[in-house]
Amino acid sequence: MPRKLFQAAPLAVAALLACAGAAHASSHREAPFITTSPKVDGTDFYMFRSYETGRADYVTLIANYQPLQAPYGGPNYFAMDPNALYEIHIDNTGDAREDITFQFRFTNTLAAGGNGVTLNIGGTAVAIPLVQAGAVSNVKDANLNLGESYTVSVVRGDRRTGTVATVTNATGGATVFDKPVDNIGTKTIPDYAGYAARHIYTVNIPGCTQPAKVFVGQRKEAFAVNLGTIFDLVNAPLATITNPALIGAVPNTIDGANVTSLALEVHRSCLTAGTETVIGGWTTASLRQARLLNGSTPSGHQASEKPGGAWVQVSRLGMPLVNEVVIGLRDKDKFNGSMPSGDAQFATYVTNPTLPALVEIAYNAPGLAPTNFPRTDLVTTFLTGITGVNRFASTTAATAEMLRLNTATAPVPFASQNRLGIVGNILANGNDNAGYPNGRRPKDDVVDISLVAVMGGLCVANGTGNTLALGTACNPNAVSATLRANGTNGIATVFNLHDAVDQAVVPLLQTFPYLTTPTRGAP
Amino acid sequence: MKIHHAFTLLASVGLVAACSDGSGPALPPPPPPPPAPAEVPASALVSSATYTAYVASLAASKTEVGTSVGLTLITGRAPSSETESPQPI
Repeated sequence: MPRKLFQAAPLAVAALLACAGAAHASSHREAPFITTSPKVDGTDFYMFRSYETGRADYVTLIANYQPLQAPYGGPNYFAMDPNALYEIHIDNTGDAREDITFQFRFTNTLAAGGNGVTLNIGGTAVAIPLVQAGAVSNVKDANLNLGESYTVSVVRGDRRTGTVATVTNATGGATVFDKPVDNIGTKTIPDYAGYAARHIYTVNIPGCTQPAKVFVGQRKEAFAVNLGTIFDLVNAPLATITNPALIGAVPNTIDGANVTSLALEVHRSCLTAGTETVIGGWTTASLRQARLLNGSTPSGHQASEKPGGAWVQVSRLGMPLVNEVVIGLRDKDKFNGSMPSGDAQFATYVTNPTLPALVEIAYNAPGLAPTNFPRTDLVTTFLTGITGVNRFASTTAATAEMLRLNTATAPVPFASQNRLGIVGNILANGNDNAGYPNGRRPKDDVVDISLVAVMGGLCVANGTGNTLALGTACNPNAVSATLRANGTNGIATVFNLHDAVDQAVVPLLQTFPYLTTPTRGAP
Repeated sequence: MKIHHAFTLLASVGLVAACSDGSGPALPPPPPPPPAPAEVPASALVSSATYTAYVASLAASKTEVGTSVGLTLITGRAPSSETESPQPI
């Protein structure tokens, strides 16, 4: 790759900096404790300027939970946990502390006043075992045995002690919203797309001048990854994962799985503060600290437990792949319970990452990992943002792990988005500066971008002249000769790294909520 | 042979009849019913902190039936807080 291309495009080079590691719904079942509580397992977080026609001034926030839902997972499917607190946090000052938090709380209610639908069986009313008693097509459908609903609050300031206000339906002012039942199958819900769309609400957020949109419901998993291969010590030939002609050689392992999305589309003026256009975002989920299991379980829905006490955070997700392949196994639970403002405790995982060394082991290829320590390139990506791209203007901005989006960067229509984000944009000499790591869009192939970054792509771009101000140690000589060498397309091999699964195979919507109709449980 | 079996049967009936009129050894008394499961004490319901402390204090047991959360909690809510920080344990 000609050096001058990167010298002339520090934005792009900086964009090469991305999270380390291959991914798997970006972050799911990534920590020991969260594997015991899938309903509060955050899997992905997307944050981007909306690219739906006419919505360019809005920012879409999508927080996904409950990973790898099998579409046939009845009879209970995947309701959200009514004993949990789901949150999306926004930092608009750069101090790594939330300034705005959107809180979601769920209620699951059996029909018929909590007793559930019954049938007259031989003169006796008997409760049915399913979540539906017939075909479903309407909001609050009479055939639903279980109603799922939620509220949304907005907190300004500290998430626990700040000022709380309730988000309301722009039509009528209701404070409770309905969640569609999961995609059970075509006999129950013949037109799931239409049914789910009826659960998109226009809402008023106190303190925001423009109405917003909210949707909560099951969606098709938007992440594409060569899952088993990656975690099996990258069980693929190096020649395969460096060959640009083979970026789609393998089917998406997790195709067919579903996930639950909490989606908000908020006017960007509602999220930013003053003249700062960059925002940092991350999602969390919390459970009550105390929980008693009832030794005499009564009838009801999820009646086995009685939670109480304060909220304890058990899930955290900002940039993709961090807890999955950056944080050590012994600290994964700790990371999930931590806040960005305390990320100095995890700095070593970024400055001295283990993933490149694991790749060396996987390929029995000593010397394959970059040698510039500390890895200032990864610090820039994970912890500070990229100057001129998505770094807070304040000179006192915190060094912390968050997904950073520059809301001043114009969105790009779906068809023109480069799957490699800013990196791909530079390589293609294009005009898409709105991709990962400048926020994250569903179409961005964060796995491939991450592989490039962790194996030293940014240092190649930084050159021997410290073009990108990443430090003189971050130069091409810190990258192995194998990865510095040009590939068949004339680009350094490190830029051709991929996991052989093309993110582009995932079908997506071009309108809110952007993730598409979930895979149905039965044809 | 049938007559022999008949006498055996009659003898057995007689033995059972003799036992049932109390003249034989008494059956052992039934075991005492298991103790009622402990319920959450009112002192644990004062606040989210006391509830958390109570739950944390419960020791694992291989023999207990299990703690009932009590009638109050079956229909109501356990103490909780939106603003408190978690208790150290």
